Amino acid sequence: MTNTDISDNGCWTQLEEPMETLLLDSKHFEEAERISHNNQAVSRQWSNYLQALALISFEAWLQEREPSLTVTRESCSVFQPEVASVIEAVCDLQLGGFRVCLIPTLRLTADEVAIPRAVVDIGAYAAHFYVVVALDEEAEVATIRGFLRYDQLVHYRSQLQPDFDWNYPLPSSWLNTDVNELLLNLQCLDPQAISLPIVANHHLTVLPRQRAEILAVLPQALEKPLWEVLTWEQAVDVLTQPHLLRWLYQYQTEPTPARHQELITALGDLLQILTRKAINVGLWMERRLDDLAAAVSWQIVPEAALVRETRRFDDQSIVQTLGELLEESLELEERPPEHAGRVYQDIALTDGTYLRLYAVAWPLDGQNWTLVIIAGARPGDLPPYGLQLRVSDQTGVLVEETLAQDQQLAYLFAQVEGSHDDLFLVTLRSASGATQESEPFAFPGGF
Amino acid sequence: MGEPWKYWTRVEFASTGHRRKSEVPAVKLFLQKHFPESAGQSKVSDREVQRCLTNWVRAGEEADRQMAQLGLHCYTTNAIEGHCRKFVNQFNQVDFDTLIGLVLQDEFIAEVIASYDPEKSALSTWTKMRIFSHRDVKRFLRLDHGIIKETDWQILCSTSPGALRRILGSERTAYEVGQGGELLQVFKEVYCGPLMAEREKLNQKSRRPYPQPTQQQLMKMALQLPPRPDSGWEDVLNQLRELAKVIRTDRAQPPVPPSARSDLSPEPQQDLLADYRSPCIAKAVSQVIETRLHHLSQGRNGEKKGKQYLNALGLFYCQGASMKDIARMVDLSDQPSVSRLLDRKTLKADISRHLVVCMRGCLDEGIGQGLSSPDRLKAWDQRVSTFLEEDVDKLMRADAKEGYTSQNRQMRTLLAQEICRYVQTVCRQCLKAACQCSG
Repeated sequence: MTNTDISDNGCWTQLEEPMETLLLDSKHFEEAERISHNNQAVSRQWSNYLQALALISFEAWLQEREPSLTVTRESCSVFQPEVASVIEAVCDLQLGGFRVCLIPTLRLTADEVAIPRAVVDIGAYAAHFYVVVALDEEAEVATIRGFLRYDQLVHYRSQLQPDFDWNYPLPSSWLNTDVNELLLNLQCLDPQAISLPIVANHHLTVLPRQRAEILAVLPQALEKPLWEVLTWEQAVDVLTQPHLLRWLYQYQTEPTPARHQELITALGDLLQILTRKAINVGLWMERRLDDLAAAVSWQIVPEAALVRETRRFDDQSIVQTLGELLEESLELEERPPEHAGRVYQDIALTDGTYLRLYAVAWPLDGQNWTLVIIAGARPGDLPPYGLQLRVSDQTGVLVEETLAQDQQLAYLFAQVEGSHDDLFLVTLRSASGATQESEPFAFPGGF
Repeated sequence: MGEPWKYWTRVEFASTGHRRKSEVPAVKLFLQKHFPESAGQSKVSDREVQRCLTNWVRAGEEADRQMAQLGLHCYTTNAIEGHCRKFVNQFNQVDFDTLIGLVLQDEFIAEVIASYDPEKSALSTWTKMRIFSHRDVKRFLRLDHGIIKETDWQILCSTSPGALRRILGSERTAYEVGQGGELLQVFKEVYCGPLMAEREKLNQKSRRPYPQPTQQQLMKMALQLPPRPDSGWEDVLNQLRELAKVIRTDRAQPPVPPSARSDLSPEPQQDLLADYRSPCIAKAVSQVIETRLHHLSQGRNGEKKGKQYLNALGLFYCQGASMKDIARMVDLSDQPSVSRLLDRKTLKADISRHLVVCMRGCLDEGIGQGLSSPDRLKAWDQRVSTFLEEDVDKLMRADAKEGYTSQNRQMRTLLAQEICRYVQTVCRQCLKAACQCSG
């Protein structure tokens, strides 16, 4: 017999006050397990499971005490693994006009409850009510331990120092344990009575300045908790950007090192897309450039009819070349329509490689638009063999092509499609590694 | 070493419902044949006997298997009695018969024996672990007495690194704080992270939500921790236990919250409530009881529970029957079960809330304003509650004073009358205990 003491460690304690309890059964646990399995990040499943169990318990409690109150699960973070993996609370739970945040805990006797800083300090995750749900999986009992309103929590916050792990240690004794009052509020109160911070598009604060730094540290989130990797200010930017959260989740769920390298490249592009001002492609259709495009020396490809009249050699060559390229291209599924916006740019990479870049864009239907990029040598130069062309959007790298000598091609083509919310970033990399990114291209809706 | 008679003396419930101990002669003979020392006054090696009996149960011939199973069964019943007795000595408000009734069950005992591994622990220890991780036992202790136990692993899983640093920070050196933090982080990574995947590997029946870390996990943790002279897996286990103990016993002085601002404006007029309460009370009562009935009907034995509830309500609020009598008449085991079924505190809170909701509709200009502020809303609820309290508190005080023994008290209060009227409407015959009305 080994020395292992399999007896239950710990001692029995008697709670000082009765608390609102509710009995759970196997179907509740099974549902929570199912939800947690949607989270592909294995190491986050348990946390996601507790959140799901807290949600299910809360719903069951409402069903028992006040069935007229029902929650809307739709936008709830429990079902969004990328959020559930980084914030250990159930956020964005809609209940009538209210937002409710559930804090799961396993303990009834602890003096404090850890409230994730994100759900208090970041408007997008803030809630009218914060409800602490204690889960006892062995007794199959959940306890609504207490709650606080947003205005109370914010008022108390002045006395709380957030921990280094991004939690507010809230003393349990500050919780309002009269859960009947919670029901009363949910049933009778006007949601306007508790004002939450306005959630508009979050304005990035540190990300634009610290892009390189974040690109260097965020990939460490594989082995380390996020609070060890980022400063809180950086975290606020990351946590408010759904695309960055999705990236992080993807990164944590795709285990091969090769895939990780690809994702890190995509992260670099994503950070550019999120932080840099975009060129409005829509104006090209009106043969116009916005200030940004003009400043980085994009030029409108003149209209063919005009060119024939002016007889300027340069213009003629550009029009002709682009026309031929678009005609020849095997990658293009359809020829660009007459009204497509056409621009070009001559660029010099830092290693002395000179390139000409064409961009053609046009709307496909009410929802989508397409961008064609053609990269090659300037007229008269040898093809830039070894040149790499990469196009990314917020979700990752879409196209990556290299100009190979043996393929007898002088130009690289890429065509991408997206909605009016999508932005595309084009990156060129010469054989010697000199790199240049474009400004992101956007085609705002309404055209 | 242990008493040999425990292997052939069985604790069981007789058909009368009383507990009794009886000797099983065949098992006694069997034991004395295989362990001659058990025949005399001397003790036997429990470890030896339990290992042999378990082996026979798993791989013995049929005759041996039966005897060995019975021997382990007898022993387990004695262990159950001993552990329950010991627990009740510590918490003397817990009723011994109720507690032992939950686990002195053939099915439970068979499970204990089937999941028992003699290489890992003594059968008595294993039995204790199983008793106190049994769902019904934990529920009974939690719901009836507010007694809970949080295991080390549960505590470690739900302690944040920040909280740990504060707990350790008060009395330890920076080095120790750092070590504790590392230990917790490695524990979370190796144990909590893959917990869901680990649970799936375990047998559904004997699985516990937060089992002790396996030897393999502990070795993995040892590898990830900076090398120390004592970094075998058993040392990691001890360090984790020590850490959990420190967290468990931490009792910080809670800071005083900043005083809340209150924006209460002058009180609404008293008689608004008086005018509207009567129709609203009837409505609130029916809504709340219907919800309750619906909820009960969804659970196990739903139909029966619903009937019991209606009957108990009728007996209590119409007839003023005592809890003890109600228990007998609606076929519940004891007074606490009736109290829990009636749950008058919640009933009152829910009715009070529904009253506020109802009156909100009646009195837009009065209470309507109250809805713009949580504090005013609360004040309203309290006013409504006070109206009800006059009734309900009287009732509750009477119970307390009379210790649930009063006979045929007439419930003359407003709320009681309203509840009574509702029950009578729903089911005319409910005043008799034999009522077969369907909720």
